[in-house]
Amino acid sequence: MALELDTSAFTEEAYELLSELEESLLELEETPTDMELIGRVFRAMHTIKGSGAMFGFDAVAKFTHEVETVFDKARSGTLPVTKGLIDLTLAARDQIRSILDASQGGAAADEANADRIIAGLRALSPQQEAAVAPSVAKAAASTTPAGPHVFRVRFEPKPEIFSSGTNPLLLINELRDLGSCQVVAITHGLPALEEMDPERCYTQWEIFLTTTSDENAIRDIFIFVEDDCTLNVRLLDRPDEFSHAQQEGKMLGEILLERGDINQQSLDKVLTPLGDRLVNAGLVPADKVRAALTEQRVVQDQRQQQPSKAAEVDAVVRVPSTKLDKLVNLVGELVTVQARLNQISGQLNLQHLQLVAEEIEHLTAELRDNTMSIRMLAIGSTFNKFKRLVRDLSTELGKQIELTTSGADTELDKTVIDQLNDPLVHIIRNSIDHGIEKPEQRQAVGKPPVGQIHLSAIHSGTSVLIQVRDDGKGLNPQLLRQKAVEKGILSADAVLSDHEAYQLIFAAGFSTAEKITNVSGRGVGMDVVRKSIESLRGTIDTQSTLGVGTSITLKLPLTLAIIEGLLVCVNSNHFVLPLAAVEECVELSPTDIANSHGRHIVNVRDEIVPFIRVRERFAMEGERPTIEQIVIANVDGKRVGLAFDTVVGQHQTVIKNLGDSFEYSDEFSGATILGDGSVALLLDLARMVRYVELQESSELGGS
Amino acid sequence: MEFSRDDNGDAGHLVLSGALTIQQALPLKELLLRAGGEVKNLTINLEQVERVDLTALQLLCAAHRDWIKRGKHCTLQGNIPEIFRRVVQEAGFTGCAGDGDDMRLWTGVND
Repeated sequence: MALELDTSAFTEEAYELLSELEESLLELEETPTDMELIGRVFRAMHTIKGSGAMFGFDAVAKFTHEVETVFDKARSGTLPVTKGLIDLTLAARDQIRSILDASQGGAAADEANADRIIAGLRALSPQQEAAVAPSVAKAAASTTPAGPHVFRVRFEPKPEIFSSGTNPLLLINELRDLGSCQVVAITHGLPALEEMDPERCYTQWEIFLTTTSDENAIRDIFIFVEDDCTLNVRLLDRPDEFSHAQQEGKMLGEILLERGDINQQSLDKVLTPLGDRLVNAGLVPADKVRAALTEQRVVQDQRQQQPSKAAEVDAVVRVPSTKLDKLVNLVGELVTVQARLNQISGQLNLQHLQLVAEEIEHLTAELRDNTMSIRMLAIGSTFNKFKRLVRDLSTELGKQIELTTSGADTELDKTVIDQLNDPLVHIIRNSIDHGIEKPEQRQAVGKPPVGQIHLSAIHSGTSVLIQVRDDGKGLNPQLLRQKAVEKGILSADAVLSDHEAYQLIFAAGFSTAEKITNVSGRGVGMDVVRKSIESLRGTIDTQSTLGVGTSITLKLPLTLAIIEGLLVCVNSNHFVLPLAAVEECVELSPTDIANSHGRHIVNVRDEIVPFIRVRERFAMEGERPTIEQIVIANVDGKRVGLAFDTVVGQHQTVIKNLGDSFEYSDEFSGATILGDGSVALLLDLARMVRYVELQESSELGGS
Repeated sequence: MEFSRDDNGDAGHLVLSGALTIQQALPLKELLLRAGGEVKNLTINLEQVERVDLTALQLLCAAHRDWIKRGKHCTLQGNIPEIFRRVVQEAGFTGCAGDGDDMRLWTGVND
């Protein structure tokens, strides 16, 4: 069981690292000389390889090692970062993913593809040694970890080094250019003054260098005195060694210090003599003890400045999303029970009970907000996936497209983010395929050859607006109308505004055969996009200017689990509308009804607003009240009213999914349990309005 | 560079000056040997040192160790020039004479 958990921890981390790797590679393609990015790519591969080997994913480790070896050359500057290298490394990243997927029960990874990638990478690096490092573990051990680290450099010049004109102090000073240096001269080899040849060098050094450079950079400094000295470079603060040391128990002195039984000064008095005793006993020269103490101090300083990876891991707890879902469900139940408690305490009118009920209400609200915030994720990771999509598709279609993003840190409920990927992929595919023109076409109309797609996210009240904007050829409303008529989606005499015409692209069956390519014709039309967004209780709006570009804006709720709703009634049946969509409530008097001459319209401050009478829509029995309440909501950018008997008020709505028996009742997007235990249905306004429109147009067509 | 002794011969004064580099290494060694000869108390003045290199540091270190070993009382006189402090620091000389080091030739400059 423990093994299974560990393995899943590796795969989760590996998938995350692969996303990072992809992102870094795409950035690197833009700035191929950025050493920081090259380092990031290398580190991601190095970690995948190391963890893979540790968790028994030998195939992952072996393949990644091959790729990493080539990329190491880019890191050391001997191999330039070219598009070819990026292409192959991206392909390698996909291959690693396939191997991981296969280990999770997916299709087996294509080994021939792996061989092709490795052959391609080796071809880029012809000077590479034929035998690629045999042992993954050995390779991992010889690689410098990321970030600043401490090296111990033992520099032992030969006595006659001065005769070649070399000044050892200049070499030591060169080391200082690489980072912070603590230099300890080892002078116990000095002979007595009388015996000394003053022109010979008797001093050796131990130098503790804290640097981000690697061992090669250190050795390079001594390259011209290789024959005149003995040089030993050793990395001291390996993160793995450190974690191991951290896991060991505390030393007695540390415990006494922590308990306040002794202070540091007293402790030092007792501890220091160890060095003295060693020196006095003639076991270790004094300067060697000093060097060891310096080593200890430098390494400790470095570790204190750079919190260990283990500490970082402690700061983040990975929890399976199912546990989180369960927590959200429980909080939902609590919100429902709390509403019931409020209702009962109100009825009983007991002051003590009311005080407790208020306190529970306060705590429940806080718990709800906290729980919901745990589920909120930044949309950036989803955005990053599209960089690859744009890169690959634009290359495939012979177009030049740059994807820019903004608002990547905008947070959305995890459930929304999970379901947002496919619709966004489809919208972006459409932009690439149908929106952005080829470079020569763009230049012919005076546009820059590189097309732009901008993906943005921004909070807007209780919603998030996600926009895909391109500077392509834009939508032609005339053409859209014409095609809609040809497809039988629109009657020939229908009058549509340009904005309404743009919405036709989301109509079922609108996609035309000539538009289907291997890019966007994957059997999913924009109507499916619309359905997906609506199932998330979101809306889509399209704006376009012919020849200039198109923007598609998705308006999505922050969360799907608990929303602010407006509770309304018809007879004794309750319904909930998402409060975010509600603009205002007005009364519908018998005079208003008389003035509308049988049509379902109401005059609101000289504005004619159509309305749907919910009682009629759902064929509910009973007499309607003399004065009805109309809730005016914004649906797809239009103001539409819904007539109810009464408006109860604002309501914390814990959304429950409807069972299979409601499969065909898609005018409801869920249900909620009220304080008295009764159920209120959540209205899907967009669908409801669309069905009414369709019904009316078919009735008109039929008449 | 010069060395002088008090009339009674117990105290010696060593004044080092100018460039203490490899070119001057041999005369420096001879001067240090002389300074460590007969006297019990020795003062060293480095104020006039203009340049110093590793050869001088090695010689001073070896001489200092000899003096301490032979029970001489050594003290520094005057200020230590910045150039001397810097080279000692760069070379990582931190002291080797143990408890008998009253002069603190190296550790003194690192304070």
